[in-house]
Amino acid sequence: MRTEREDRERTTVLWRLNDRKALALYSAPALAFYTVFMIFPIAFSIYISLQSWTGGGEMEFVGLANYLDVLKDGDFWITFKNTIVLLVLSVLIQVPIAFLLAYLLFRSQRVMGVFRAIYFMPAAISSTVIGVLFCLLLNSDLGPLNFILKKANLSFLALNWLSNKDTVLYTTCAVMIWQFIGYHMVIILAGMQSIPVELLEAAAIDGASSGRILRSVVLPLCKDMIEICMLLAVVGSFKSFDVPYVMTWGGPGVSSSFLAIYMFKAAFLKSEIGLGTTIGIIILLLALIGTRVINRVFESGDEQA
Amino acid sequence: MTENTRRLVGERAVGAIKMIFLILVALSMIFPFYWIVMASFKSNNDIFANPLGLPTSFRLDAFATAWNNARMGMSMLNSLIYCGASIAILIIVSSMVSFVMALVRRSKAMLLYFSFGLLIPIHAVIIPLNITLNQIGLGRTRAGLIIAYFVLQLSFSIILLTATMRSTPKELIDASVMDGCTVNQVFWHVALPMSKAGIATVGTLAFISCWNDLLLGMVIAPTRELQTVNIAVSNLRVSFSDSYNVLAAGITCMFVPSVIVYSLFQKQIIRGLVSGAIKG
Repeated sequence: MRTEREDRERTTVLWRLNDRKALALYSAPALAFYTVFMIFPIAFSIYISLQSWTGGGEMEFVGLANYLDVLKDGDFWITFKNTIVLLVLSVLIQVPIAFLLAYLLFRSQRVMGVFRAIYFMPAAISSTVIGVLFCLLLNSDLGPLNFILKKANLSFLALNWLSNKDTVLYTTCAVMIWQFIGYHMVIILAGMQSIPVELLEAAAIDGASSGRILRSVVLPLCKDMIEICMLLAVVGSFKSFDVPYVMTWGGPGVSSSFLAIYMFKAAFLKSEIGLGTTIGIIILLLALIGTRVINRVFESGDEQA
Repeated sequence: MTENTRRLVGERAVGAIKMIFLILVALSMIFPFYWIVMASFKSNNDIFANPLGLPTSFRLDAFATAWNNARMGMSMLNSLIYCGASIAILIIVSSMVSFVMALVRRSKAMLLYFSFGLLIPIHAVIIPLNITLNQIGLGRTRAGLIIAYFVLQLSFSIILLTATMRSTPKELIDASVMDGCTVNQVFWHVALPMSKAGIATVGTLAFISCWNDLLLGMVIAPTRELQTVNIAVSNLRVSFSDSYNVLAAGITCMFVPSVIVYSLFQKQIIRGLVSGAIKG
């Protein structure tokens, strides 16, 4: 039984107005939409993933066959590997570069506003546009990148960025990493700006070198923001769709395909709804595991510190 | 040179290197957009012959072709309708429930129920959501797509607005109740105005993710009449894969409005996305 005091803490004077009908009306729309279009589809997708279904016609219960089909499919493992490559590159390259840029801007307050606005701009523009844009920029015949490389006598570097099976994965990853560097930078910069100025001044007066300040003051105090960036990078990798879809359609073959594209093609081009849903659930599970791992890594770092 | 001037010179040199690095990165962010605008004014042959230079003559025919073939005007109008409607519904529905959870009766269970949605990537929902919409007759309709955009932002928006509304001063609510306000009046005249900042953040985030979406539009509204801007652009890529100037013009039409809006509201957009990332 709840005591009267507890009850009072959970409520405000509005509750005591005793207008229960109004309150129900306020909560009902959100609860209804959320349950019907979010929670129900999730539950439904677990059910569909156990069926063989093309969207129309009869469903047939097949148990875990869809999951086994996915795990036996070579294409799944290639797209999985591609997604992991993107994830690793984001964590090891994107976030550190973002940190470096944030730190440089943090040290030069006067120009910070302008550069921050420029670096962030690609993240505010649609990934579809970015994808088509880079198709042109990286075009092997007329794109300015290869033009410059050829002019600089580096023709051997002027590859077919988008049709060469060995480079295409890295090309699409590079574009996605480039687009969101500014996003990560802005988050880390916000963390740096929340460091109390007195702390930095005190360290400087004590004679700490700027490298030392970076290591012992700035880095530890930005840890939360770095963790957020890592989480965004991990979840973002599992969700990556627009840029590779527009640039290469995942091709040639599946060499630049990612899990989300693999799912889209299974469900909407091959109409294997059961299979596509299964891949969706696998993406969900991987994102949850990735999030958990990053949390763990940062927690164990806390204990050591 | 004395010790002091040498140190000064050293510091200057390091500063200059940092500056050059920052400028180079900035150029890498700007150059692609600059290049595409230039290319959109050139003829196709001009792009081949002279990829880096300025256009020799400013031609606008690529814009006309891109605009008409991709049905740019209609797609932009579509996207504006989707964004506008979904954001309006999102703000009303989520601030209503946040009001109850923040200021009337705190409910951990309900908050937990809503925050579940934050964990779910759209890919896990999109197929069953599409089936659900089809079953209730909203598949391939504007209403269906608007609901999808709105529902996928709902969790985040509720969490953020509940946090914002919690900081409404209790005295203010007590006072307004004493003055005889009803629940409705407290909501409209106290709670909503007090959480303007949170509403602005939610609106900004929802607008960016809706305007930039490709996947949901492709799945739920795949017909030509309902297409979003991003579908228009990606179709252009397929049908004009050899007419580089048309492609360039199409993308220019798409991103110039984004860049203008971005430069006007840059501070709010950055603040919104950062607080979004942190709370999410």
